[in-house]
Amino acid sequence: MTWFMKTLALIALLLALALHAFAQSDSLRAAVSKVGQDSLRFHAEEIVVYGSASFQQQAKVLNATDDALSLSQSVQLMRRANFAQEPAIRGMNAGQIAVTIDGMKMYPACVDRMDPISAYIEIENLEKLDIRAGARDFAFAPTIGGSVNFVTTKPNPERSFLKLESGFETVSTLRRVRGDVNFAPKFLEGWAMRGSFSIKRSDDFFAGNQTRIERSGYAKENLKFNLLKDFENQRLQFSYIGDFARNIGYPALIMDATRTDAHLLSLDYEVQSLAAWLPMLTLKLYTNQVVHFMDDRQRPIQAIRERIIMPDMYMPMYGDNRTYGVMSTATLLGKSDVLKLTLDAYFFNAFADMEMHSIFPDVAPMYLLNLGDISTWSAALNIDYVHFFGNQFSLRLNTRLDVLRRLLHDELAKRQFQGYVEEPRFELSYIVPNLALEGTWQLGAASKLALAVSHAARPPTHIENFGFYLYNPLDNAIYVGNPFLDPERSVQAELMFAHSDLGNTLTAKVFYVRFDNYIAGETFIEANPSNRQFSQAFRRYAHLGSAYIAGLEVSAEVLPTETLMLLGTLSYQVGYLIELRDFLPFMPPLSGNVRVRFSQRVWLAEVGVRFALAQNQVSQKILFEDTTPAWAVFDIRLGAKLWDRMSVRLGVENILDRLYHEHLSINNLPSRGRNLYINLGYEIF
Amino acid sequence: MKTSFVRISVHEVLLGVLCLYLYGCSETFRNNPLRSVGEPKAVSITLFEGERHGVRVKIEAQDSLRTGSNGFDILLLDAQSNALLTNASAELAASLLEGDSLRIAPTVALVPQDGKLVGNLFLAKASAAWRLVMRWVHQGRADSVVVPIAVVPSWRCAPLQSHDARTYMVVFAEPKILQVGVQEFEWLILEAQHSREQGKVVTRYAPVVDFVVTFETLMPSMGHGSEGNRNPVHTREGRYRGRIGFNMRGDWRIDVFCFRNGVEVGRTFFFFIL
Repeated sequence: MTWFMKTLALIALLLALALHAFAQSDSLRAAVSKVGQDSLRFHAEEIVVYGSASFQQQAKVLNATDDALSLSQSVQLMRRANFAQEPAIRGMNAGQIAVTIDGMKMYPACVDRMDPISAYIEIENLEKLDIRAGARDFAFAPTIGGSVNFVTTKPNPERSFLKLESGFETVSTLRRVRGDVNFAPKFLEGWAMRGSFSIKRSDDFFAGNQTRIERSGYAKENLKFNLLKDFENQRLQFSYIGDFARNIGYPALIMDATRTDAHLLSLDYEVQSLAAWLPMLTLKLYTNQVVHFMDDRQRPIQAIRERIIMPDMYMPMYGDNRTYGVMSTATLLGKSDVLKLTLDAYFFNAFADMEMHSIFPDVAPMYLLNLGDISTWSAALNIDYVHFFGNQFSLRLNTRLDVLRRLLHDELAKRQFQGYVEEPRFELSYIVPNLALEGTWQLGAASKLALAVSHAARPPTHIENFGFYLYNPLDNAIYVGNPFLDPERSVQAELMFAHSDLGNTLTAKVFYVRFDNYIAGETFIEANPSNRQFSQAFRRYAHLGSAYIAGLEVSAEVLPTETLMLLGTLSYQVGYLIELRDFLPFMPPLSGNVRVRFSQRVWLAEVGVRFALAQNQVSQKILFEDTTPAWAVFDIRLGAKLWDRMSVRLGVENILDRLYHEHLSINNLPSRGRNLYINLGYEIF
Repeated sequence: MKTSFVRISVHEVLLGVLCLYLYGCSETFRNNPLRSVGEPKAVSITLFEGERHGVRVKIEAQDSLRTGSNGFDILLLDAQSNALLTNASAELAASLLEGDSLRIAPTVALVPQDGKLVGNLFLAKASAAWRLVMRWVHQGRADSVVVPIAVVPSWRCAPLQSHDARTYMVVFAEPKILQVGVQEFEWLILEAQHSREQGKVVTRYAPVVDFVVTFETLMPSMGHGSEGNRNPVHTREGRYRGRIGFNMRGDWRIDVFCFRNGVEVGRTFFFFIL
């Protein structure tokens, strides 16, 4: 029996047991609901950004979405510019993790990953981050590494407010203005509207030692609008996010983004308390589109002539994609059970092309398709079932079955493939089952222990299947897709311990991920370093065999006094590809942070150090990584409520102006140097 | 609790759906004009249309006439009934007289295809002084027409830089329109044979059947070639069939190497914009 059949059979058996138990339920629903919600929360890491607290009380330390992401010890950020960084979870990235906005599927339009999904959410739009590391929850996608869901702010039907904030950062001469307005008129009962905007202008940034990083500025505007209508136990909500960025310098890459426009639209319907056993039913319709242009015409001619890839050539590229989706969830309560069913279907279409213009006028322009009108249809059922055995033990089953169909439409794109793949297929189908089991033990009043095991898989991405002629600066190779890829599969185990007592908390996690067909590039045309014009190797996405990632994460918060808090995180992991005897790329070294926070009613001060040891376990075959030296930087942050309606946030990051780069920084792009920032917020009403 | 779904206004839901729909019609920039750059589409040209002794003749070039292999479509109809003369046999020939130099193209027997007679004629040199001769035999009666034609230069006809003091031509005969991707191709290799007849230098073209041919593709401005190539092998009468791939639009160069008995006879190249 194949792996697939075994997994399906196991899912069917466990589902039957779950439904049987559910059918017997009758009472104690309220208690189960509460316990169930608490238990479910244990699975996800929530980083509340705005939440329901008032604007002035957000004397937190978050200037950008990246700041919020970096608070999670499971998340690492891949830096390509002084712009939105791309989240990775435990070193896994791209197709190995899911990044969603309010559960919406969304994909970068740039084949060089200049526009990670995190770029489209500004901090003022963000209510919280829902981070689920590892394959224990498949609510948003079939994923091996986990998921990051950006939960955006919603209208507040209780009160109206208008807030403005302006900020300045010395490291890049960043000027920022943003605002947030909520309107809940008394004369329109049940209606509420919320809108927010931000305008950002940044010049080149400075790394440590006052090192100016050329071509790293950008300009960006973001707009969000929500309309909400409550009807007794029902709610209808419309949401729009528009994000417009221009002239974004990417010093780590060979081109810059000249324009990126994103539009996200969704319509949400929610009904509560349909029955005692059916407390919640939701339906979401959504669509989003990204249009992305990048170019190298702003680069100096010397850089074009000496570039390692395609010298003497300008290479403007274009990409766009659209996603349409529907997502519906039903939460059911039983006697000692919680069952959440999610139907998740979407359609995604991607296109990207590339022009090549020689600096010499007698050479004809060249043209190719990187993504030739690729459509992906997907439908999935996710079952999340928790059964409580008294108050001491709960067992959770999370399973998902995805049916996915992918097509390459463009005839030119199909012909491009002919030389690189023997008898290629342009219509692909995948059935991807996922299963996770998790037991949680309540060890007394303050401690919990959980053990999770999972059999997780993810389908290849559209780029891994049908991407064509994609340059990867990390191994100086041209990548070609592979329509014959199978899903990447893994077996995972994670042991978690949490202790919380009088505000002091300790959380520890140990995890192990075993891949059995890791997807990465495989060379089929060797590099030719003696060829000035084209020294690159050609690589095709392929299954490179078995790999593993193992690691641990520890975090603690200690409250010695009412006004003093000590916070710390530490994480370490190692990844290895067995057949190639190579370390996996993007594995963060031992890293963490320690912060001391003093807080009073109207002010907050925090001193902290962020650090990482050297990473010498680097990939030399999958990618050509180099080692990363150890680093440590110190920050100080202050927040205060000046008057009734006014607040200030200021601080100094990287106080010692250390020149360093993180291991996940693409092409060793340095991190930001000493940065003095100040933000002034004013609540008009 | 009693739940009423109908309180949600249908208009509100429809408005939301309409917004989603309108949004779906938003902008895109997928129609890059460079997609269509490259060799122009073939446009057939009528070279002759007339009647000869009860037979209506129409001669069409499948595209503008260029050096190399040119396709012709011939219609032979009964002038009275307009019926196709399916049992007629026909051939095409061409010659170019310039001063005391006479070039004679290899005669081609036309073959019926889709109600027409078709054939490919090799024209070696760009000139406006070519004479196209079409001869046919119908019901035992031979006849012919002569049509002046002009031939323009093309990348498809490349002289071989030979080491054996002979003159060879390599002709990219098929496909007539190259495209991105992998495709079968046919090259015609001919040897120009010169003789002196009636005070003129007469050049005839004989098929070369004993070459071993290899080739390499290259985008000169990019510095790389392409995948999916297979060296051509001889099939018949100087025709060599192989497979070639082009992975993008742009300038392409194909370097051709010809061997006889393991010794390189010569090399040439094709250079064109795809």
